[in-house]
Amino acid sequence: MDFLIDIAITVVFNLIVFVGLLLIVAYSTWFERKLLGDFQLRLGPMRVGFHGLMQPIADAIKSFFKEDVIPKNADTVVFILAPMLSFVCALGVIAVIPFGGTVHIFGRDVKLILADIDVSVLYIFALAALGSYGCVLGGYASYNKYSLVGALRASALMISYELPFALTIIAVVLVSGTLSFSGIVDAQAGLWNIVKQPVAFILAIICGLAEINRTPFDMPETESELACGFNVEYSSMKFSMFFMAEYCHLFTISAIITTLFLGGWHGPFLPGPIWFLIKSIALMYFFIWERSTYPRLRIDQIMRFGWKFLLPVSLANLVVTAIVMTIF
Amino acid sequence: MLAELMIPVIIFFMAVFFAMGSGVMVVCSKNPVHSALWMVSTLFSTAIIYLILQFDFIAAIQVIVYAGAIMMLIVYVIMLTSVDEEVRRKYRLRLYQIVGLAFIVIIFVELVKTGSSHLTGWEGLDWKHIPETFGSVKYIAHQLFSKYVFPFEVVSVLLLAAIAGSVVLAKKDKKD
Amino acid sequence: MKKGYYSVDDIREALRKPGYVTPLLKGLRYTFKMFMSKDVTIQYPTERRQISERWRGIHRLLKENDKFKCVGCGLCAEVCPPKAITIVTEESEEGERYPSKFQIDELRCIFCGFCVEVCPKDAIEYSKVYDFVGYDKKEFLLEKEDLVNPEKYIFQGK
Repeated sequence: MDFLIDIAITVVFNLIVFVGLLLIVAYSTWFERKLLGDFQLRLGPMRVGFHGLMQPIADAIKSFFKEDVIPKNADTVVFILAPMLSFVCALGVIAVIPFGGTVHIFGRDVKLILADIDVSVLYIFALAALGSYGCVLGGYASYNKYSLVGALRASALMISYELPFALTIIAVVLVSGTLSFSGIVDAQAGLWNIVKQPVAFILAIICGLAEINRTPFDMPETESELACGFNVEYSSMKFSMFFMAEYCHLFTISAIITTLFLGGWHGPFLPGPIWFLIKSIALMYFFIWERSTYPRLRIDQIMRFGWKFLLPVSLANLVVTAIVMTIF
Repeated sequence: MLAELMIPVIIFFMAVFFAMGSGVMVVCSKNPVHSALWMVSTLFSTAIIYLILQFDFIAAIQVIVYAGAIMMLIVYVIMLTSVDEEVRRKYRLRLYQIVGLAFIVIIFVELVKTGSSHLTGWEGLDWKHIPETFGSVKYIAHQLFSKYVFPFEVVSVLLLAAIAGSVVLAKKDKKD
Repeated sequence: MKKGYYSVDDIREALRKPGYVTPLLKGLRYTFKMFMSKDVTIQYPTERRQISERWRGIHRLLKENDKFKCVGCGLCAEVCPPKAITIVTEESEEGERYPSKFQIDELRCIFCGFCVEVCPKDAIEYSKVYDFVGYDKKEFLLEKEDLVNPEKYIFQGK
């Protein structure tokens, strides 16, 4: 009986987190459109529901009923596989992110984290590595030169920005002394990592933007040059899977940076999950704000910036952190 | 609980079959990109086996380094070559393939013979001497930077040599 | 001007010059200001902008005592630069002249206002209807009955 209750709690908890994540993903599209509207002195979606609140649902229904086109020369299996890979890898990140402390249900202590593993940091990098296959394969399988160039740029971008991102996060890991996210959050109970590692925070935001292919690093998409890049041949639900993966990344990168630098779910007065959401949404706000401000960089500028500026700075940050940690 | 014991075993066998099947498909696919993808799935299945053995760190590193970085580069290169020619080519059994197959059979038979005579499987393992933290990041780091620091450094020098070599090869000749 | 060291003035000068970070922050500040200011767009069919009193929308034929003020003199048709007005005048039994046909092609009309200006009876004026749409060119040929109440052409949305 105990075993059954355990399983029931796990299943229900997983479902809640998953559905919650999907809702957040759906509404982050609304959030972005609304905020971009505000930044451009527009109103954004207003018609469907109160202030366009039903817009994500309308969009979802629309994309379900769109015609699904697979190009004649496309590599069909890979073409279908790519958006799934992208989406699953984007969703998987949420599993290791702690969004609350421990709660008591049915006489059990349930940790508000799906999988409290030792190597959360490595796990998110592994997922990011697999997720980048989504872009690359999608671009390759479409049999379209724009997609292929977009895919090449995506892989180049991800390979070159994963390195400084990893080095930046290693500095945080050094400060916290653990690779697990819940350990990192616990280590920040007194003082947030943003105070200990301000440079790393800025670097992480920059590299995070590149990792999720957002402006000013939205190289794989570049509407003006590549006509939407790797997903140009995608339509219907396959396109919206790429789209959802993108917004899922937007939320998860905010959640990761919150966990690593902003003390995760710690905060006064309010319960943990609410603090976690407030911080993540504040970061999402920043990402949208930044998107409405900056133009896209050129691919060579991005590469130069990544290898000649971010990598040395993140290495220097790591070395300084290590030296300081050794001395004190 | 029986179920709790059975689940890892089931997952283990699924991962094994998936790894082996993908391994066969790497060789059998005509499309090089598909081969590379099956390779990724082999690596991923191996990572799952590591996970069942509690080597979280190794599993993650396997996915990041092999599936993420190395296979990505391979896919990158293959994508730029013309895949179509390879797909269209008619299959013909060649002499070197027969020789290769023969060698594989010989090696496999020898491996099975060695394995069955020298390794005693699960009973041969000394469970008591495996520390609690075995496979954790701290344990691996400790081993790597204390006991095995010399091989580690030698490997890094080797990699450095490889990088230097590739830079030299890629560099244009200034004299021309 | 190589001195081998940096003076305080040099540092101050370097800080004053636009670097890489300051413009980025300036941009963020500007967009935030835009975020805080009021939106300029409106919800068009339900919400409309205030338009000028002298707005030249599509024409309105005025009536007096349930009869058209127009006496069918044909001055407007004569003065109209794009020849958008077609008038056929008839005489009633009481000897009053009236237009049996008064048609304005709203697609030809250039809204110059000559017809309104020239009319001796002040029988034609401009309404404020500016969102007059149709699926066919024929829909833009307005007869005199249509021109009595041009407000019916205001776009209501779906």
